[in-house]
Amino acid sequence: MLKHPVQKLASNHKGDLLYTLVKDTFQVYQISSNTINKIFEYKDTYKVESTHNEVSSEEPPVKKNKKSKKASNYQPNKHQLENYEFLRYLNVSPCGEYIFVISDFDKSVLIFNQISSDDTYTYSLVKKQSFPKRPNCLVSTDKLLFVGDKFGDVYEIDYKTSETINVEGMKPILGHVGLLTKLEILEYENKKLLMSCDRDEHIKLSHIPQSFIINKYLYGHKEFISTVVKIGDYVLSSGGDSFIMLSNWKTGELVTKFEYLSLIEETDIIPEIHNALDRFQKKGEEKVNEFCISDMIYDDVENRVYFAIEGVKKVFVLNFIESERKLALEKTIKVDNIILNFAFLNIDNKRKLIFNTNRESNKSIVDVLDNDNLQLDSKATELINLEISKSTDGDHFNVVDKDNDMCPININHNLRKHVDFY
Amino acid sequence: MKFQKTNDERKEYRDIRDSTRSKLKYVKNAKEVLKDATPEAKIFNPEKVLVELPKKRFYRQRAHANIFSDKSAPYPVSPKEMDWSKLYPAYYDEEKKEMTKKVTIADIGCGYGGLLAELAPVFPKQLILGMEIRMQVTSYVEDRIIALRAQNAQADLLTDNNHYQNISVLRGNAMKFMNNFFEKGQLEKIFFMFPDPCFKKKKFKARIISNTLLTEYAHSLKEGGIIYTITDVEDLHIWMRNHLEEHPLFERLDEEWEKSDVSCQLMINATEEGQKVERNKGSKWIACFRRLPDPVII
Repeated sequence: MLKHPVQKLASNHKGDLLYTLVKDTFQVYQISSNTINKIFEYKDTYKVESTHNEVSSEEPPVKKNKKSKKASNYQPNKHQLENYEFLRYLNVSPCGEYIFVISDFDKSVLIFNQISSDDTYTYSLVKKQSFPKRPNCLVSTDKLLFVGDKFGDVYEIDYKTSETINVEGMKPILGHVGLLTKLEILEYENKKLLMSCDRDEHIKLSHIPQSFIINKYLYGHKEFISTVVKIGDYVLSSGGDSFIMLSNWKTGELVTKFEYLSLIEETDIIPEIHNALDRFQKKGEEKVNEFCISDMIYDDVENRVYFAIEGVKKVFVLNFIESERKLALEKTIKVDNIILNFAFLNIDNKRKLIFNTNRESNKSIVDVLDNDNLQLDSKATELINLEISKSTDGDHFNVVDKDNDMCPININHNLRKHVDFY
Repeated sequence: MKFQKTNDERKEYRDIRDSTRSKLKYVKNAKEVLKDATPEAKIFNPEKVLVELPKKRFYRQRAHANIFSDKSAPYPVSPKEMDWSKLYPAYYDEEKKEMTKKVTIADIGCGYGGLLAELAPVFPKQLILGMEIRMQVTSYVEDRIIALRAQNAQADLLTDNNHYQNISVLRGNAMKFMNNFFEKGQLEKIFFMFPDPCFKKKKFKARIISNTLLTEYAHSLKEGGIIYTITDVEDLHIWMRNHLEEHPLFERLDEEWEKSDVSCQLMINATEEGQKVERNKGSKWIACFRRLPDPVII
């Protein structure tokens, strides 16, 4: 039986805790020398008094759509039938004591408090804050949590109190007119900037707490933006474009672009993921393939950037050369599965890159890569996989129907707009 | 039968206009280009049609547009890459390959372009841009500007004036892509005239004034720049006024000022929508706001 893959993972700054999201469950694993143990688990569900109770388990929750009334032959597409019962995104506060999880249930963000004494950790749910529209990305400072939703609005909430704000009374602090894909905090001279990226190629830098003042925009993208990585004065951004863009956020200057399409070989292409939808294919011509970046991560010790192209079974390692202000490809590492996202872990006092896969074979849920020699670490991989597979073994994690039972994993390419200007 | 006739007329009229618009809209004097390329037609006399002011009845379009739609007109990647020389050919320096002036007045949702035509002689030294999201309506304004420029071209040559060369229109979604067109602090005036009221609560985010969008307008507006709003819907007026008053970067201007300001007076009387309200004996609600300097950044 196919089991549910880990859809998101993250780690704490020390690197001894691994946070994972599997289907509707949030799990924490503690890693000490040669052992790994699950220390916390939280399964999310709808609030009891919520109206969602009427959604029975037999039928997938179909969004009420006006079109279905108009035309009798209207068929909701796959996206509209999507099951909204998963945890989507995970992030850790700067101090490491709070963990934020975006949940489909009640369009909410779950805030966990992590208390550590010596090497034991205890967890408690601070609150479950609902939002008017589905949250899609979040970032936090040491006091406040910023949440960006799919409608383009950014809200700020205090994450340390257990008080929840009424959804109706929420007011956005800033907004875009388009789906927000990523938020990030930039700091300079004790001042803070909130960087918000959307599907319409905008990267906007606003001052916080004076969010009504826009500092600047970073221009250069022609397609949606899916991931952003900050490196000192620079910002790496990428998404549906054929390049990774390096810009200086202090001056607003576009420094360089790293083209990645040439790195993709013919054998890497998986038609189901990379071919554009039929309606965007031209008849009698070669199939149009589309690529986008699924995740990037920056290693400040080695000055490396790791990135993965959605659906491509390879990890690409870039060197960031600050003196020349450019990116150079260091290595390509072939792996067995599709990579979803990255985190760093500390195993045996060594910093290692961990990434989760689509779990096509039951053995490889995550893979571990040694930062020193850029080789796959099969020993650590086996250890972690064993523990994760043990704790995700129940019937609850069975995937019978991939469209309904599984959290959508390769979703970034859906953000592409396919605009034909007219 | 009557409808058949109007349909034929509309089709031919639009064909004449459409076939030549792309050639004419980016030139200084349309008459010169017209000489060698005049389309054939049965009902109308094309030569006459093309220099006349366009007839509105051939350009009617539904009054609402979905601003969240992905389908949109082309927009530049950044303000630096915007090619203004096509829109204002008279203000393009061929030798230096750059524009001699920047756009400083923007009419967002310019509709049929009534205000543009009125503002052109009042601010002869500034470039004025209308932005409209509806295709047919934008075509109308384009044709209108072509005709206005052509009508004045002869006189302009003799007197060295540039009548109506300082106005232009482009089709685009200002709410999404305004900052792709204008740099920080570029604009002096922004007009929002009779915007779509978006009555349903669900549609409030589609309103052209909201606290999140005002931040973006404030970014492209220079210090002391002015936002003009006018509407015939009281609810919308209250909405716009409240949001602008709440915003820390804007300050309301009093009635005295409204009376003394030329553009404000023009705005009340000039536009098609304004005249329509007048005919229907509706009331017009005005609110003008000045952009305050940025406070000290904490």
